[in-house]
Amino acid sequence: MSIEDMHQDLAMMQISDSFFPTGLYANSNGLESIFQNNKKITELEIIGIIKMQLKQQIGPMDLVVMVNALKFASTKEFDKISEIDMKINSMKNIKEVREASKRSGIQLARCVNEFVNDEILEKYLEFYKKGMINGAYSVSFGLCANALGISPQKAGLMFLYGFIVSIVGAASRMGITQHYQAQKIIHDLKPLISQIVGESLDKSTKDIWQFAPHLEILQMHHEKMDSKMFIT
Amino acid sequence: MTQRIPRLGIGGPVGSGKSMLIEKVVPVLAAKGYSISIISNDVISKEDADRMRKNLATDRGLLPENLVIGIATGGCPHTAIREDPSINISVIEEIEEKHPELDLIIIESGGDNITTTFSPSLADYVIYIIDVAGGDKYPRKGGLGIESCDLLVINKIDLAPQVGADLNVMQQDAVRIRKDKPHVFVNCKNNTGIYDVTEHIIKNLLFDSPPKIALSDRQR
Amino acid sequence: MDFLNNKASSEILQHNEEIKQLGVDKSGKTGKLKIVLDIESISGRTIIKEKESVFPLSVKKEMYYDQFQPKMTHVYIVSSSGGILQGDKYMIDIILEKNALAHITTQGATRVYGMNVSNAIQVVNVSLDDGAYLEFIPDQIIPYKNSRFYQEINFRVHDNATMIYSEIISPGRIGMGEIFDYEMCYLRTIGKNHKDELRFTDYTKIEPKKMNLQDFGVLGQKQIMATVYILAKRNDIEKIIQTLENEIKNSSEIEFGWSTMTKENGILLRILGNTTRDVIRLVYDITKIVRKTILNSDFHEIRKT
Repeated sequence: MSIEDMHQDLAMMQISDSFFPTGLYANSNGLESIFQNNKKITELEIIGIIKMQLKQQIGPMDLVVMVNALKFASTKEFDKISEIDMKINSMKNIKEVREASKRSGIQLARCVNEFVNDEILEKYLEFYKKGMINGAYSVSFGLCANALGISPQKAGLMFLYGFIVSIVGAASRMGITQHYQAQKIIHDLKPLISQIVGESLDKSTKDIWQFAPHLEILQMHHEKMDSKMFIT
Repeated sequence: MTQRIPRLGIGGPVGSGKSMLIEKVVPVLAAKGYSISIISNDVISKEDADRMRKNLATDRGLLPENLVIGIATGGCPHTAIREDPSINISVIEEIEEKHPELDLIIIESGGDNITTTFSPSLADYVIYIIDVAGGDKYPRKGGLGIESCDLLVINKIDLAPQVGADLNVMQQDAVRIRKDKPHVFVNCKNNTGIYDVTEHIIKNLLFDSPPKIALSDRQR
Repeated sequence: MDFLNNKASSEILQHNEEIKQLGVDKSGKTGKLKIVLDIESISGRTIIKEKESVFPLSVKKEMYYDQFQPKMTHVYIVSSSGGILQGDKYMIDIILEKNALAHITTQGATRVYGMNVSNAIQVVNVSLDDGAYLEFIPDQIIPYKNSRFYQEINFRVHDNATMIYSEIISPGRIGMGEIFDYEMCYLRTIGKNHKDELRFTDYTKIEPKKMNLQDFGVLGQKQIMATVYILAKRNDIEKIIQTLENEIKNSSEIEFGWSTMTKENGILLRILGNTTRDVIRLVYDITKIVRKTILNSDFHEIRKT
């Protein structure tokens, strides 16, 4: 393994670590709303919910956006980054989810910008300050991965891994799963993550879609819950 | 470029009287003309934020309703103010952008004496609050919360006789553990010590600077 | 593929390639309809000022039967071929000039027939100028067994205009026992304002044979999905939300939720129901709230037969 490869892997570990400050631990991605309606969710149901979300929403939409943002950053096509940022922001139909994505996205970009010099990332934050960029999480993630020299494939794996850890972490903090079970769930999802990343690397921004209306409705209900522990 | 508005962190165990302290301190500061926003990092709900909004914003008109904000922390309020304050910072930056006229932002978070510290990037001055009902050994036990805060507030001193807590012991231990850093005995119910707390805030966080918008201008 | 401005996904393009290669394009028709709605100066009523149509699309003569809104025009879009077939391309342009007031619907459901190769494509462009008001409530889409349907709707709605649009997707010809037997239903709905700034983007792809539609989170126990988009001024949206919160409730028959769009000047409602009737009733209830809030008048269900 070359020094560059090792650097790439270390960067991947750094961004994937829950110690990395993006606030994702405060998101349950709808799980809290589901749990409120049904207190007896099983391990299998948790896996089912995550798989569904990966296949119907995060994979075909957020992941494709992230991978394309990374590619646009590597070819320095800022106009396309700006366009995809506007598009993904307007595709997040639920205000709470949209706002959380922007907040995590900007904090991620700022943090990476503290220790990496990258022209595109800098411009992105500059445009954010001017109100010309939303800072959507998937776009910020792609830009940061590019700035750290992480390949689209590895970035894809990290992106989906981070997503499932935030849901499984939420499940564990709500008392739905215990710690061994949580790790087993993550392990069981590895084949699906690899498959989705493999299928998504060549998709263009024209291929984005989502279809999880029931989940969206539950997320919309979460937004209006009086008492909640999680942001989404 | 937006300017950093002074940020006051208030931490303390559940039930120690954080929100009550805020509800007492804010009117005193508001009467002096300071404009304030409050962010509540509550473990369970927006309940505190909603009550404060009602008590301070809607009913008494001391601060605009949208400047009392509740943040869900996914069950990790200590993380949200310490090693990953990104959500809080994000919300504060939005406030700084929209309301540069504010003089102070208060960030409230529940947390025990062992874990509670505020990231320096989040709070400029930290109050940690405990109450006498936890026993007079509480200050002696130390912990990050009690040792590292800028001002230790010991609340509910009226209950000391009932719970058999010796305020002298607490006083001596607080001085010893905290070296020269100050502490104040408070009874939020009858405002004992509230003035002292506000003086500490004005002197050591706001550095005696006057409100950005003078009181006389605001009322017009 | 100039028809779609080259924006379509690779899946759609791929199937259209097949049309060319197999030479089956001849069976397809290109239906066109363009209507411009404007206020007639003497009567103050909104009329169809301009109309262009190419078979099988057309519109009926405008009607004014709402006693509460005598100046509001009611327009029915008609497709005389009875359904959309393989290779069909429909293009509909609807333009509302300043302050125009209209309710537009279809004469019946949009039936998408089964096809071996290629898609049926429908592109709808709707634009509303300053102060215009539009209720665009077409009947449901019924995708038949083995059908492939691609629809793109582009809204260009002035920040000071109001529009409510609904889309209802049925699982198929339920009466014939066809439930989720279609290949694909791909709907793209994009809302921009008069300065071409994005207000919402909604890309939905349904492939019943490739997805587990009855999974928790997808359709759950329900079969009918609908989406209602409301675009209006920010303070009107606030009022609509207040009424929605008070008057419309979830039930076991119907589940729905809503949230506000990027600039708080729109609402997207997602609805899941068991029967088309339940869903349509809810869509009408929501339309009623919008009309009451914006025009301060009542809305009555429309009889189509």
